[in-house]
Amino acid sequence: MKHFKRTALASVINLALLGIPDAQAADSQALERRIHELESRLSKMDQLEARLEKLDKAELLAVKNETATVSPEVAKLKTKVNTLERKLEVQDEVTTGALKKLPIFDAGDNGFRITSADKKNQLRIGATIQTDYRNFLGDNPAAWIPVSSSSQGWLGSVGPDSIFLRQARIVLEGYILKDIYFKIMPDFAQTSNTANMLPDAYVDYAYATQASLLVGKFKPSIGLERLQGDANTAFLERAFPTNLAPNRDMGIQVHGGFGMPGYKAETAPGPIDNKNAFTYQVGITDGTGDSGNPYGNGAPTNTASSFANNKEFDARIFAQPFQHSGYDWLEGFGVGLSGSFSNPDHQTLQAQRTPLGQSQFIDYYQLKTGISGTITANGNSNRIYPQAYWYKGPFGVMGEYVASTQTLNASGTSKVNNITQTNTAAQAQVSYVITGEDNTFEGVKPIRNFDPFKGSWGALQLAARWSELNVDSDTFKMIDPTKSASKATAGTVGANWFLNKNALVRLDYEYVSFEGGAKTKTGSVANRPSEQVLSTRFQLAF
Amino acid sequence: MKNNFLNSLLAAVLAVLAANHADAADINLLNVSYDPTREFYKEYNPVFAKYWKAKTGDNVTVNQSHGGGGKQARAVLEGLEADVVTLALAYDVDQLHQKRKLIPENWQSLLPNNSSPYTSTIVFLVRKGNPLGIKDWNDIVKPNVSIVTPNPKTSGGARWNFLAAWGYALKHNNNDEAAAKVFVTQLFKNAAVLDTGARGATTSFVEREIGDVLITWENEAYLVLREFGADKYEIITPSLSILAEPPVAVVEDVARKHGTTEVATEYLKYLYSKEGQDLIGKHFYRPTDPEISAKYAKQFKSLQLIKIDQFGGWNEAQKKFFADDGVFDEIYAPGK
Repeated sequence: MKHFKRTALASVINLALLGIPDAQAADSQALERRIHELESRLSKMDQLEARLEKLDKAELLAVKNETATVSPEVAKLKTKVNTLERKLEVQDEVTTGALKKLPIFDAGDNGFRITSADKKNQLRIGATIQTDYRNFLGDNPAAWIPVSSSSQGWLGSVGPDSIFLRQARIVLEGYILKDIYFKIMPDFAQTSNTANMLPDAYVDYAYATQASLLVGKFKPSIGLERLQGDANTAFLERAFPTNLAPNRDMGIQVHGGFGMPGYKAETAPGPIDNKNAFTYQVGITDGTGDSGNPYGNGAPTNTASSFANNKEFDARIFAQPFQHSGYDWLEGFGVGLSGSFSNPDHQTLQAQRTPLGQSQFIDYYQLKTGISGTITANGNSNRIYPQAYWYKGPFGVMGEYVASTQTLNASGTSKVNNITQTNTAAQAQVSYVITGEDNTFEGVKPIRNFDPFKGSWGALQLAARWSELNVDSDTFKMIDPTKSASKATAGTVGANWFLNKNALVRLDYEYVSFEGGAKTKTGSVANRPSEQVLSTRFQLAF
Repeated sequence: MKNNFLNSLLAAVLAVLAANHADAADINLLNVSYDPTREFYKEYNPVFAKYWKAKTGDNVTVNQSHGGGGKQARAVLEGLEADVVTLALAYDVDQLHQKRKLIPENWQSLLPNNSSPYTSTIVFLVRKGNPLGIKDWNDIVKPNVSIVTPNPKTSGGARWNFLAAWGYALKHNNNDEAAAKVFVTQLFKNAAVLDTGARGATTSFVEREIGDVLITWENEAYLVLREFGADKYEIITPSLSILAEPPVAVVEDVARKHGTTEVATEYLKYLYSKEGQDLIGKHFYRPTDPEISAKYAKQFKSLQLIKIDQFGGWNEAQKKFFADDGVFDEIYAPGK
């Protein structure tokens, strides 16, 4: 500023000097007067400059003073704002800390989940609802069955051509402290006294993948199709081999899984492990007999007093030896063997039924003439159960065979008191997902959910199955061959329309032929008429 | 011949050195501590690492975690895998045994001085010139005095603050607890903000310029003078305060799992060494070693110090004053 003013002053003098006429042309007095005038002007300019400098200083001081003298109100407000800001920061810190400890709620196609903040505890709430329509085609086989006075095991209430609730289950499962898994699954679909109100209720301490301890009520690890989830099977009902194994049982099982060399095993809580390359299960259960289901259909009634006689020992090994092998077409191949042994004491026998129609075709209460009392399983009993599946892309094959041997006893007669019965059953099924999705043991997940307005229709799987059950001929030394069939062969075809991961519409047709199980007018053994059933299901599972 | 011998010797020495180098283990420790110890452990950790390297050849890296003492103890209880804890008060450490058996019951007897390698106390920090003329506890409960202290629910230091005030009130009111309650009620009525830890309270007072008085650890007050300038703040030592004995412990359950029990124990034991104690004094904590204590005696003003025993020990004090529905909940309501 000062520099500028000096420059301006010099310019003014120069301009003034430029205005002086030629010295030689003016007299000396005029010159002197002119110089005085200029000096006077210069003096005035100096005074002006001094005043300007003073003004500058005063201005600066004023600005300074303005800054220094903040009013008390402003200072108070500033402190208030600072305090409020800080309080908000502290509140944020506290809230963020508290939020981190809150459980995580998650709702999606896997059900509803509540997980603790440290992820060590979880509860999942799911459900399965199956509504079926069963329609018998042709002759009604029920009319042919010589119904006795006994009502044991009849599913008369299901009957032909009915709409009924097959399952209405609530699934509560999860884990506590990371390793302790649990599942409680009540089923409200059936209300009769033979209903299976609580199919699953177990705790699995899966501390190590190599050895977990499963305790409670669960599916004993014997039949392959039985171990497949209800929502994941390719057909509405399982085939004959499942009838020669227990449905559910109560007991203890040690199980474990191992990965292929170089691959870590995965935790697979519960009785089903199809994740790992090599798995085993060894269990001790109450022993419910073929088709048995404790508290579901009256079994078990084994009254043996010693532990060895009133428990069933079962074991299963299953391998998927090509997992991660690089042989893509073989990676989904699994093969296994299971078996069981027990020594029941006068245990109730369950009737045998057709898969889809659920019609009874072996009845241990319909005795042969000359046999009286009750027929029970009494003595050594064992099963052997080879099984395999192979899934590759949309294609899937599954097969199993079972030979179930048990000692039968007729309590009220001495004529044929004991026989050894070996019933056999087998099934082979093939399925194909025509919409291209992967076919797996754990079902099919549509690539595109059902949404016709957007041109997506879900996934469609087609399936076919052959299944057969042979009853040991010695059985008919005790039961009436005109009232129980000695062989049943079922052919089933089905279509499964997966609307999305959770909703499924099924349609199955089954043809079952029988050997024996009826009588002619003359009283000799005749083949029971074949059974044809068309059945549909709408299922929601999450 | 001579050259061959020297070459062989050199090769052997190099081989031994290389072998030693190859055997050196890399160890990581986690020290979960309270708020104001950041600077101290930042300097102590490399000193210990150097000592441990010289002793064993192993490389030890100590990671630090700091926060309000109570909050830190809860974090360890909830799964933070601390090899050692160096907290503000014994109650918080004791919870690690009481609630999860992470440390043995006799943890306090495993190291000298009840496992407290240093002591400290509670003082006031005011703005330069002490504009409100604060001299003692009774000055900071006056109306229109704005104080800053952390929340006793989350901060160990804040609990020491509370008990020091309570002790002062009892002394000046013939041990009348009702009067003491009125005293601390007024004190917390003057609290502008309750931070979750001592360092947060320092931030409020120094950086946000909130409050007239900061009630804080002695070492924290000196640290403020050093970091922010003695021309801006003054330390006021009240006539009475409390003897704070911040304890340390190896979290044996975690250390065993990590395989760090030996180094974690030595890490804490070294706090009692001359070198450790000297660093303690340097950071304005009161050393327990008599020789080092004498060296730093001049930097601490003398005052009457009451002990936690006067309150029946930490378990009793916690139950009475700081547990849910205790005295603090009774006298303090946020926003009032």
